Amino acid sequence: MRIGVCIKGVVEDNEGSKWVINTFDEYALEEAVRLKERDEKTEVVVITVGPKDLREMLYAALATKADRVVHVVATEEGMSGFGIAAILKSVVWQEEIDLVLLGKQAVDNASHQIGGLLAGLLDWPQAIDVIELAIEGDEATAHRLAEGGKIEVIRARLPAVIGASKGLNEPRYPSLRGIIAAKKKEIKEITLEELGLAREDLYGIKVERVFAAPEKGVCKFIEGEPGKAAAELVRLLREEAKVI
Amino acid sequence: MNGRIIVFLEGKKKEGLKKSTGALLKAACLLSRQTGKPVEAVLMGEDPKQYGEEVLRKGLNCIHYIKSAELKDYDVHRYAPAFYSVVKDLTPWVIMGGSTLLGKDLFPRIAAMFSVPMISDCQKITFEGPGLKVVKACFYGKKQAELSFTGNPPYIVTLVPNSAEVEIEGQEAAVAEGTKEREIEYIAAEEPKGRLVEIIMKETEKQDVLEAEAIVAGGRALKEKADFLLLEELAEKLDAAVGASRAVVDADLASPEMQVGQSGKTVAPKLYFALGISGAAQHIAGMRGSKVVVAVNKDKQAPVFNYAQYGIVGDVYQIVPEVIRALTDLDG
Repeated sequence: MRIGVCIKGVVEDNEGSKWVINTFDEYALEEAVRLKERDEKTEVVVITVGPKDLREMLYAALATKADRVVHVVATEEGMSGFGIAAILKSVVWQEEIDLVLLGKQAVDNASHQIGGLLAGLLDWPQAIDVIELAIEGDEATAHRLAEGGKIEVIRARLPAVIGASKGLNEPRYPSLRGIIAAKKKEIKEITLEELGLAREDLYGIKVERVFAAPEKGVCKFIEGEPGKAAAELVRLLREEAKVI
Repeated sequence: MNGRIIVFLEGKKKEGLKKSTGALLKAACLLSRQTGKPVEAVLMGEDPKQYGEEVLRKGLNCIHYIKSAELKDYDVHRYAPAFYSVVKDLTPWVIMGGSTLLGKDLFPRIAAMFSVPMISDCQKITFEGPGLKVVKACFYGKKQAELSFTGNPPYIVTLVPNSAEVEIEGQEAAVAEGTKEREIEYIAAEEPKGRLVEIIMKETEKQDVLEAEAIVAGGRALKEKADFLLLEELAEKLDAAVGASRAVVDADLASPEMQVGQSGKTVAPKLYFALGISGAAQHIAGMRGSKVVVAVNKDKQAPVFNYAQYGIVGDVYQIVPEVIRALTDLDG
């Protein structure tokens, strides 16, 4: 089996421009590695779309037992989720992937789109927001989180798309041996042109402007000892804000 | 200009339409007034007509009921093709749904079927010129982006449930020449390759933060699981749901479905109590749409106060029991 793990590079808070793997994609990568540990014939291909300077992040991904990387070099700026999913679809076809694992969402923009879009474009079954996964032969059984704390069990014939959530596993830290071995593994860079994709198909959404999220306004601090402050709060919520 | 505004409405079995549909219908009707385009609702399920009376009161142009025994429980492999098969023939201009857990799962697949991009978690949807503009949080919630669609319709959007920003006064109906109703018996063209085989229920079903009009959320200041009982007591007084910040979910003091924030749920209730929550950008992104925010925190410099209308600097363990008492006095 060949597993494709789609990872997104995100810039973490206060860490300058250092790219790291989106947290939810780390669960996907760990799960793929665990499947490989169960069956050595499994190949794990890491797929990413992003700018050229993702090397460090990609070595971190390869420091696990992942086999190789396909890096579609393209700036994501202004590209829609649909565009990213269309690119991933091309790579999935090209690499003849049997199972796609990815995070349920990215931590930076939290759009929660790529898994469903990719599965839809491929016309593959999907389970997104998955906290438990079992693969038996060509069948996947996934537990996904649903409304009201319910868990839905999805059974799908492979190929399929699985969106990892927190709780699926505990990603491990790479070993020193893994870090050294990573440098010898293949990182294949490809362009959109090589995938036969026209740029204009990948947009469709324009960023008009980005602005600092506004603060809510002036906070009215309620002073006094707890009993008095609480009573005053309740009065204000009732008489001024009219929400209770 | 042709095209219709299609709204996907979710119901809860016995309780009627989900509360989140309120903001959705208001936003749809506002768009309809601005554009003159009709608003048509889509309801799906084993017996979608059970919500019919409630939807009829909204004065929409048309309600499409997609009915099938196979649609009894939500399963993307059945819902997406069923929705697509009906809506593709309606010349949709905008397709909108709630950014509920169901909406988050369903809409990306629908966008793929229509082969168009979508925008999720919109806080605001407006019509400007020929196009549609939306506002949504980005970059860990520290920023907001105004986005527009540049391609061909349908424009697919999901709206944050209870979005306070779309609240408009007065009549909800766009056009009230009588609502058409249409029932469609859905038969799947092919057996899907994936399917829902089981639903594992939680023992106690609590009010979901996405559905609640008030939320009482606890953060790092809470030390033990049992301390959430205090929050539950307050929540009961306010008919609120209990929420939590990422820190307490990570510490296993609260369950993941309670998590408010960018990696949890994005909520917009009328009243939000942030108790012992410092206000990391990711958390703020998940609750900034709330109408009134009350913050209680020991640290006066905590960023959460920048997003609150009312603040009390103090210990959650001292303040919350007093608030419960004050609310009890009010009842008496």
